[in-house]
Amino acid sequence: MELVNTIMGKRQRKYRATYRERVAGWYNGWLHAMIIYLAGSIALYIYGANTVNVQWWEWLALPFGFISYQISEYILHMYVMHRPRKNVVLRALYIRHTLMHHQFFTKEEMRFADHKDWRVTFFPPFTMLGLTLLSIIPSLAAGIVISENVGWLLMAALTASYMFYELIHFCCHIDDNWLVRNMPLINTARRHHTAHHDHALMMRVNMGIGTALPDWMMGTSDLDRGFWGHLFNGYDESHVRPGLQKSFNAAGTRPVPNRQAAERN
Amino acid sequence: MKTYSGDRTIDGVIVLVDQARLLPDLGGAIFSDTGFEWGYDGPGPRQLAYTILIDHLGDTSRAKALVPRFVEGCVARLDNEWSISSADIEAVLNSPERTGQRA
Amino acid sequence: MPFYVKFLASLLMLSIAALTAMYEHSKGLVWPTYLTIFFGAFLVFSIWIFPDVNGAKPDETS
Repeated sequence: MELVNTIMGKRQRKYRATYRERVAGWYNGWLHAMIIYLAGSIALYIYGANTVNVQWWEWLALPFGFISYQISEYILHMYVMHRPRKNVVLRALYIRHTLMHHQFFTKEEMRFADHKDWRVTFFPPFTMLGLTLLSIIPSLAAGIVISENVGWLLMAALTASYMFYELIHFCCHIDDNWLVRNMPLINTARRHHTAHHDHALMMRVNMGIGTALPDWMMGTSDLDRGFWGHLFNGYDESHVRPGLQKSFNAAGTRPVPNRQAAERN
Repeated sequence: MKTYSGDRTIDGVIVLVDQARLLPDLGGAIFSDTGFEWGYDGPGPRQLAYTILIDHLGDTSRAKALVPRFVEGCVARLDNEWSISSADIEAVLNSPERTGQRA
Repeated sequence: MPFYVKFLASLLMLSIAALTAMYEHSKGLVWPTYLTIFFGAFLVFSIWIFPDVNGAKPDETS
């Protein structure tokens, strides 16, 4: 199944068809989402159930953990998902992201056709497992050094932040509607992420997905705005930085053809 | 006149020179052992620049010396799928040095 | 993901889930104990049955 009303070019259409053929076995997007959110909800219950008499200052582990995950996600996106590495696990992330997710979705066409396409956006269950294992290290350290409650709350925050990331990323690839167009943070993420899917910019610009703030902090944003502007920009395109470097065009020679545009014309 | 082209496919990155595969080990994997990439400055793009220049110039030492210029002038700005000619390469190598920040 | 990575991650996950469940049991937490065991087993089961996409291999660099 493929979208009917779309401006995607032949290359993207062909890639999407190939990808769908290559998904081994059965796949169901609803089941995929259920696995992530059921596992995540159970994890949050477990972590919460292990806390006792949480003090006011211990609750600070939640925003700290939440923001830490978003920053970690930015770093992973910038330095692993868009950069081939020798390590097998890291390389698998690059393949899955740059060679699959970014070929399936482009700035011209960002949408799923149906739930069977969710495979290319939601992380596989291995991510929840890996995140849980990796989260134990700082959480255990915090639990020993600071307090047990802080350790459990940090685990909860990291897991919740991942689930938030998945939700935001999913919302970036669904059809436009009144809700995503007007919901703060989601509408900002949609514009920000669509700009990231510009093939000329994707390797360098707009690496934040859950929030654009890491891009603002690190100077990798396509927007010329401050903190609040990055948080609540919405669909506004008037603050996009002029002179963002586009594709190669050697002086005196023909520009590299934009194949998607050529195929549409 | 040769044509170099590249694409990111589901089976991996592919770079061709006149429809024949251009492999990263042409002049040795001295910049990257993880293959080609483009669209930024890093080991993969440098390896791509180096390999293209070896094929274009036929001179390993000169190719290596021109890698930074060719990366900044071309490889770091290549689109997802791209095609450049020998003339494009010469134009980049003969253009004045670029300065200033890139996005 | 290569087989050996999933295998090692599975062993680690099950071990940690078991240890955590024992800890929770020692604290008298009943539901968290059962859910921790379920959580570990559920995740390990999920990563093995989840369908892969046949594309470039992470252990090949070309």
